Amino acid sequence: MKTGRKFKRTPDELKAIFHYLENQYSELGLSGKCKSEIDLSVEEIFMNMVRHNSGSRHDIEISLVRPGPGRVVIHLRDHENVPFDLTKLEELDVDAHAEKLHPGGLGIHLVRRMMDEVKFEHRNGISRITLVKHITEEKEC
Amino acid sequence: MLKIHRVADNEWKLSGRFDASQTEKASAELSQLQESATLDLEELDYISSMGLSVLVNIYKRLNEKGHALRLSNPNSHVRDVFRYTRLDQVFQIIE
Repeated sequence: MKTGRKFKRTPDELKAIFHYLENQYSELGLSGKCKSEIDLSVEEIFMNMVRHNSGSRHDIEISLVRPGPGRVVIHLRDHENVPFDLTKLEELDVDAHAEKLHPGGLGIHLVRRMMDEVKFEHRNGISRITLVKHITEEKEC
Repeated sequence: MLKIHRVADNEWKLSGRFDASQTEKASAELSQLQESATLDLEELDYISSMGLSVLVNIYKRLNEKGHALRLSNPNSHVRDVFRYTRLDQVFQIIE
């Protein structure tokens, strides 16, 4: 895996994360709407790690690669003793959720809508979430 | 960074990025809304679920008092976020 950059586990790091991602987009030749979709997905997963693993003092590592012209792969790595596999969360009943006007609980739903693949693995005390975005002209990337 | 400006009695303009680091500031500034209002989103580049939750809470507060919260001119990304969460069926969105 390509070495990424480490970020402290606080929402205040989002500015630095978006700056890092923007540099990666330029290097990888990405433009258009998919940048906002990747930004949002990284923010949601990062904030999920911050909130659900609040006892950890380790930084969270983020990396972005483009293994071929048709896809971008994003990894987020976090030290986690008790793994939280967000891919096992049930699909949200989004119509009921909107009707009840729940103010939260939409982050993972948005990631699932905006990314083409979301994978989780836990090994040696480290959780790794992999996001895959397929790149096509129709998706404005 | 998110910027919020009052442009008329019941109209506010949001610009920049509405992410999780901006929720406290946005909640405080938009708590001034006490009656029906329009938020102009033309210059709002980005919103995440945390930004969305602030808007939902304001909508609920105003709605309980019989007031409305309208959103105008969202960009393609912001429109998608509302569409994917079905909140485009809740908020009045003016194109």
